Amino acid sequence: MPADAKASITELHRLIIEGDYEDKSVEVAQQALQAGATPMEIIEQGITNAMRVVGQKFEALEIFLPEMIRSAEVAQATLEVLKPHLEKSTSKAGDKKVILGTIQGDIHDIGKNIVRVVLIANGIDVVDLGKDVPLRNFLDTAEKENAKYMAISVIMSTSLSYAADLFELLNQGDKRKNFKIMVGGGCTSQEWADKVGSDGYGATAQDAVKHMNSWNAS
Amino acid sequence: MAHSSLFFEALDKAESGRIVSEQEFDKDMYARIKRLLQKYPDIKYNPQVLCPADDGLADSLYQAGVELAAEVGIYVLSSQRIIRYSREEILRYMSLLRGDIPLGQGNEQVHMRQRAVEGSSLPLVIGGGAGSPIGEGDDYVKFIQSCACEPVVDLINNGSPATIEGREPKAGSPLELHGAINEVSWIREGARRAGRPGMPMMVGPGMAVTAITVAGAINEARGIRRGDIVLVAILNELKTDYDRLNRAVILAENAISAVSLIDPVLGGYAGPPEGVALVGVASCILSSLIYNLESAIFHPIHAHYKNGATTPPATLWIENVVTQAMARNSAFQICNNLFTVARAGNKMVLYEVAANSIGSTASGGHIGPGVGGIIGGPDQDCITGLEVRFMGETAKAAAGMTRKETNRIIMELVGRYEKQLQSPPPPRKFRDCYDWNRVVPKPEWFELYTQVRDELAELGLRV
Repeated sequence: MPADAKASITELHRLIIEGDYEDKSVEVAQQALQAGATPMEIIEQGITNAMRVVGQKFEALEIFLPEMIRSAEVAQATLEVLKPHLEKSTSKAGDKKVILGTIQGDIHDIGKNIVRVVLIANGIDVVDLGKDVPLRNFLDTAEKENAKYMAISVIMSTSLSYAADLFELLNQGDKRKNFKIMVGGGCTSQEWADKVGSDGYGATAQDAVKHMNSWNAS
Repeated sequence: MAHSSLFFEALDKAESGRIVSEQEFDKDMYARIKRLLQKYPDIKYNPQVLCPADDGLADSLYQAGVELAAEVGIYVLSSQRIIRYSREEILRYMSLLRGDIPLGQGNEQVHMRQRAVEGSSLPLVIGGGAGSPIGEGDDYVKFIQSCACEPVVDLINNGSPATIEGREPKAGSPLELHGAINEVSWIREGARRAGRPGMPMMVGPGMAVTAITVAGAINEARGIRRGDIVLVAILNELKTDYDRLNRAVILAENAISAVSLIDPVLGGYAGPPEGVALVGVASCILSSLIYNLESAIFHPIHAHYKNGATTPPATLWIENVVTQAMARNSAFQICNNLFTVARAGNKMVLYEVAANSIGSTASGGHIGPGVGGIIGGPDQDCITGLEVRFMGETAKAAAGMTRKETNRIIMELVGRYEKQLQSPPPPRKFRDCYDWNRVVPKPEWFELYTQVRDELAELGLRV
């Protein structure tokens, strides 16, 4: 890789870790492209690496959710600029899109927000539906976004039934086979995930990444 | 506190002013937290001093909390507006708190009274499931009975029924309402079987997600009644909504005391331990104003540990400093939630209980609800009355102790369980630890309790 491109990627890496302005990071990403870096090199060495550092700092509680969100915003803004170039190079990075949300009846979202940032940190595209998400929104959005993956957060036991209803909805329409679905949150467990027919259970945000990587590899 | 014009003032503020997005509110709040922590550099977490004897820190935390409350206000999710009070209004309203909440009925009447830091008055002990998942019906009643039969327990608290009529409960559904009505009747029955029918409840209830459920569970004969105290949450961070405000109205109209539930998240929007403490103080103050109450269940949550535990070092510090800040500067009372990582049947849970409860007492608080775990967590029926007894015994034994001495014991105890926080011993079920029919601890579990009690005596705390 040309030296100028490397320097731009290094600068991009720093901007994302520091949560510096989107305009600046977009400009630096474009400079890296012009200097000869490929979109995947910029994503892997600039964005994903930087977000991994952000994730490690969060694990060590050197930074907190607001800083992580800031870094994720910068990373996502940069990804948007690179996406058109990715499609041209027929990269499969665009296949990694997950629909994320806290299930209907549940208004907790901090854990879900942490998962969102960690997924973005690992180069995964996230469509975040927010909290108290009606069942059908998961399916409708996944179909609209052409996404194959869903990640459902359930903190309260009184919302477990809604999450189970989502699996039932997908089975009824014979659409279950179209998606890989993971569940996580305070009141979920591997046992419950198996019972409802989930493809994966996450006790931590990193588990979400492991599932996505394993599903993409197969 | 009586239902007053303060409430209508809050309603007016919730419906007026600029419409603001939740994200904008969060960003603004975090920026102000960072600025206030720079302004008050003595608000500093020291992992070696989890129960600080630093009045300056406590007072700075309170002052910073007042400033945060005045600058940020409370965000109303339902109207997307902010309820704000000026610093002068906050100080004036806080000065009106009475510091005495009568609870219970007949010979079980107690008073939740303001305590002092290092005060010799005994803390109230709120014992029960604190949200832990418990089987329905007789399983629930027996567990409550195992807590209520402990003389050291003053108020009884709910768990969270895992099923209702064999069905999974569902938020907002008729089953939630039916479940909450059943649940409080089980709590009443458990207390009655322990010979304490007048015992006050401090409850959610565990099944009650929505305000209508609280309304449905009010019943002088078998449900929530006058003399009980019911929680109304402040949502993370510094937020509320119509449903929470509705709860406050329901309770006020029925002359039932309210207690706020405040659970800021370490690692979340409040940032570091110092920020969480700051949000804790601001939440206490603002909850008093908008919900018309004089006490809070305080529960800082560590994002990295299971069960929403309060016993990791940082969350112990947060509970202790917030309690000290409020006790030194107001008549607002803190009841420190006690959630452990370990569950019943091992020494670790008892170490956690002791470390949490003695810090709370020395800091001027009451203890509980405890001993709990996050609602709907995977370990069903893994709590017993014995660790609840231990919570009460250690809390009351610590009355009159200095913070310095309390900290010494806390650090010893934390040293005995800290390494296991990410991999606690496997939990044991109530029926493994207790004679289910007679509702007494089995010898093996009681022996562990005796050993830890003796260890504490060697450390200087006799229970």
